[in-house]
Amino acid sequence: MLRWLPLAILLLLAACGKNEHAPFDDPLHAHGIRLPPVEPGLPPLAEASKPQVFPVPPPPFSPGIYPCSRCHVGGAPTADTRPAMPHKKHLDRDLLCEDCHGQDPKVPAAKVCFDCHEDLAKEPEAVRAYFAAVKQPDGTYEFPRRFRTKDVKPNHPGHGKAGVACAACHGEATDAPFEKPKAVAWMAQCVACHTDRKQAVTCETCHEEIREPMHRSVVLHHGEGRHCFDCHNEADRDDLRLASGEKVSFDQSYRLCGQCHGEKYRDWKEGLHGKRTGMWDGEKTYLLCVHCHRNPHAPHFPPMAPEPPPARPEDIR
Amino acid sequence: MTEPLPRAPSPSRRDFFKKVGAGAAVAATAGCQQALEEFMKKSLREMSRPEVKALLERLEKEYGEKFGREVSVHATPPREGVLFGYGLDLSRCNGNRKCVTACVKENNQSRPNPDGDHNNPIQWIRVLEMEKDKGISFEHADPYYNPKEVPEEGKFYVPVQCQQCENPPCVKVCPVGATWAERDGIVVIDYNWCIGCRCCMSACPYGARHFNWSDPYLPADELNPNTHVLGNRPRPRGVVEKCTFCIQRTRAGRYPACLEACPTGARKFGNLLDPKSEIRRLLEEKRVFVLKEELNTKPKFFYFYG
Amino acid sequence: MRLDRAFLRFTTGSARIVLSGSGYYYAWVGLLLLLVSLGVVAYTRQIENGLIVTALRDEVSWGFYIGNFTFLVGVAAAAVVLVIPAYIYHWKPIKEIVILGELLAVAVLAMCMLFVLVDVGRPDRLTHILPIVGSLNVPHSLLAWDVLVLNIYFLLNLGVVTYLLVSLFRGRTPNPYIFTPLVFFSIPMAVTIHSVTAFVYNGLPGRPFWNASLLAPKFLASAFCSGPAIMLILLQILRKTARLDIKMEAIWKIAELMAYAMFLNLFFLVAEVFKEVYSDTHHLQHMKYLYLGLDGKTALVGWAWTSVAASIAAFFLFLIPATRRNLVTLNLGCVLIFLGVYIEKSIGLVVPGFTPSVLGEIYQYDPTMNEFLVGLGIFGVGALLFTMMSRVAINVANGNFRLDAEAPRADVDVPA
Repeated sequence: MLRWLPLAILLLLAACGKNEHAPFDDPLHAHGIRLPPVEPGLPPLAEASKPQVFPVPPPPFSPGIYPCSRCHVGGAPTADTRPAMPHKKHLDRDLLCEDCHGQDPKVPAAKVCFDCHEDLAKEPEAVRAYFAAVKQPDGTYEFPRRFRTKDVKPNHPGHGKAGVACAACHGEATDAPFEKPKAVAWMAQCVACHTDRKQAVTCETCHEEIREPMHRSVVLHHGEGRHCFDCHNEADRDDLRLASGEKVSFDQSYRLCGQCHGEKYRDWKEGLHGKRTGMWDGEKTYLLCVHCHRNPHAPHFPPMAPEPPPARPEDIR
Repeated sequence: MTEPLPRAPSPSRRDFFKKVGAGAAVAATAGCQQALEEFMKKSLREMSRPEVKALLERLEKEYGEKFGREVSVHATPPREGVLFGYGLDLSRCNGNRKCVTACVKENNQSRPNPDGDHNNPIQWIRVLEMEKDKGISFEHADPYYNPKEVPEEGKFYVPVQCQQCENPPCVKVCPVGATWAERDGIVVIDYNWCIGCRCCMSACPYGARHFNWSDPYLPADELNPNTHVLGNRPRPRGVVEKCTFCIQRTRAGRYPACLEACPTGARKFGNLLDPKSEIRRLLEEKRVFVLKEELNTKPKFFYFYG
Repeated sequence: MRLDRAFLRFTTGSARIVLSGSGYYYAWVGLLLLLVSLGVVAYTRQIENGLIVTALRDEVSWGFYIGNFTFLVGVAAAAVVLVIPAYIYHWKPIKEIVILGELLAVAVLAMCMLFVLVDVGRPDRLTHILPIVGSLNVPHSLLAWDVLVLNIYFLLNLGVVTYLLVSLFRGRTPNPYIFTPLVFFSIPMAVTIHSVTAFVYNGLPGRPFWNASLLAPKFLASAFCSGPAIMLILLQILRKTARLDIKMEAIWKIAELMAYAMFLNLFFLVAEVFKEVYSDTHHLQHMKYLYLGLDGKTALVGWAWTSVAASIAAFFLFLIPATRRNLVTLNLGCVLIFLGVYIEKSIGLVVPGFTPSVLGEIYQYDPTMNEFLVGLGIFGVGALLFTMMSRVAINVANGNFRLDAEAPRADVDVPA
């Protein structure tokens, strides 16, 4: 053994120069690290790491199951061909809406008409024609109802007290038949007015009960004072919208998220936020925001059950 | 895929011993020959390419017989211009331990076996639960947390695994040179050369090295048959093992198993020498820190708050 | 007569001496053989099942085995260092002290190597640690250096003591130009083996309990307490049984030197405790665990304070001349020192270094019966080796066993 001692000493001397276990010529480390130069400007997402599989199939929550437009068709103009009641003519004779419709407005009973139009036979031809058109076979009169809504029961007295003119919602009175607006457009008007007047604009404000199961679970926990149409496209529910009004499809929802979460968006594009799978140096799959934040209405990552804890040393036997 | 690890040619004394061994083998029985081979065998680092190839074939045969399944053992060498780095976003990690489970599965660790002779489960990743008001303090860490749901109020989670140090204290203490850092930065162990003295376990400041106190328990149907000779191939009793950044996956270009298993996207991985890689963008954009920086181990495992 | 024939006669004669003796001798050897066989049975169980039969786990990966190894390296080192006072103070039976010291070193080193052997997970691969057949990782690995210096030290002592004994056996005066330099070389080597053993622990930055530069000096100081304590007891026994002419003054002198060593040891302890307590960093955890317990886990507290109390008591026993010179208190002091240093260097050094673990976990290591039996077996081997070797050595030194004499008369019993 002794004769190897000089060898050992030689080995020691030989090895003093270099640590064979640290074989990196260019030691790379966060502390005192020398990094190769970074090219100025960030490459666009498509080039950041290529090739990429994109987008991945939408998560179950996504509206890919069936289009929103299936329900959000909007109210079609009435097919009622009966002649119109000339509202403007009535108003021109210093009548008010409530004189006929009452404080809690409804379609007036025919006897309200006959308070003025006492004898139909003495009325002009147009008036007689109108009443003839709405007369039912049993002798009663049924006036066409143009503003029927499915689940919205407007609080008329409230609106009245707030000084909202009837015309604000029902439009200026004309003698032509009322053109009932498409539901979505009409609702946009409600939302705009509520927003202007700093009134509540949650879904529940107007839509009382009839909300489909899909929406029943929607509880918005996503920032302060957000509203559906901050993200959903009012006019075309199959799409989303950016703040600029630009339409974006659901598979580009990250652009929408990125409007507010700019830093996260940038990190996500570079692979610093979110998850990618596949090859670290090649084809990879990107997950979109909603793949992990599965509920965009309440995007906070939900708590989850942990995997079992490790064995304690005492239990290893 | 079965390219051996490039190493310096072995000294000629080996040949001498081999000749002696060959001569003896003629006379000796097969058992004797095997014993002699065992005695004369070299550490993986000293093997020539044909020797590595022979070793891989021997291992594949051995595992095939042991598990009754086809097992492939590769020796994929490090790539030029690649130095692996890992990032972990402490703001994202919620302590769900999915990484641990995926790691055990991918890397053929010993499974729990409470009804067997010995119960010696091994996990390469340890997720520590820490208290937000105490910060990163190992004194107040709890790896055994087990609530119904994570994350818990007031807690945060720090997964710790091999930090693949650039200045690894475990490597230099090994008396037989059975562990070393590869050119791509992965610290590996030659399971056929380790004598089980556990010096490296004393030296590791991160508790990343684990010992096979008994025969590892690995049911054949849970075996991952795609293995690397320095990584997830089944280990014998009495040797040390540790995380290798999933060497069998990452050298083939894939992400590590723990990263793909993480449901919160807290884990980042890539080539530190590629300015466009995720890990480099991470170092560029985020302020990162390493565990126990004062020990100058220079980990390539970076923690950050994203 | 040619050397090889003389050596053959020496070997056969030694075997005869070792195999013959009084009933007490046989009883003693029988007891040791029983311990050894218990150890063999326990080790066989460990080989069959793996180190899982020990209480060692990932959190505390070294324990009883390596602790004993560390303690015994100190004993081996200190046994030879006794040669220095023997020379300085011109003790008469220097020859015997040198021989006994080196024999003790040889026996204890054999135990050290056995403790390393039983600690490794793959004893079948120990050839890997050999310099040429394997791949000894010098200069990086301190354990590799430790293997190297321990083997050198072992062979050095074995060589010197064999040379001395064979020379005496052949009726020749040992050539001082051969053995004196070797004996003097073995003194720095003794310091080296214990320092390198300390460096094995010392060089681990992740373990602050060991990563203090005072560790190697403290190892030496405590070794100079425990090693001589064993030698003192042995010398007294040999004084009586082997009629070795060892003056009481020599024994008192050793005791006095031990008092100084113990003072240094205690001073180093105070220095370490002060540094940790006053700076109050997280490094203090390990010392807290040792002396106070952590989180209600107090497995080591009793041991730690026993060690401190025994060391302090022994220090005063050896410091005060009256108690130093009283054989009862002297031997009590030796036992106390042995106890104090044994606890401090084995369980009190290794376990708190790992507790809490690097990730803050507290696993209370408590050696299993299997570990204990393996250790007992190794102590049996050491005692057996020393008994037999010293039996031969005393006979040679007394002139009872010589080449030119008739058949050796084994009339000197050497109970240990």
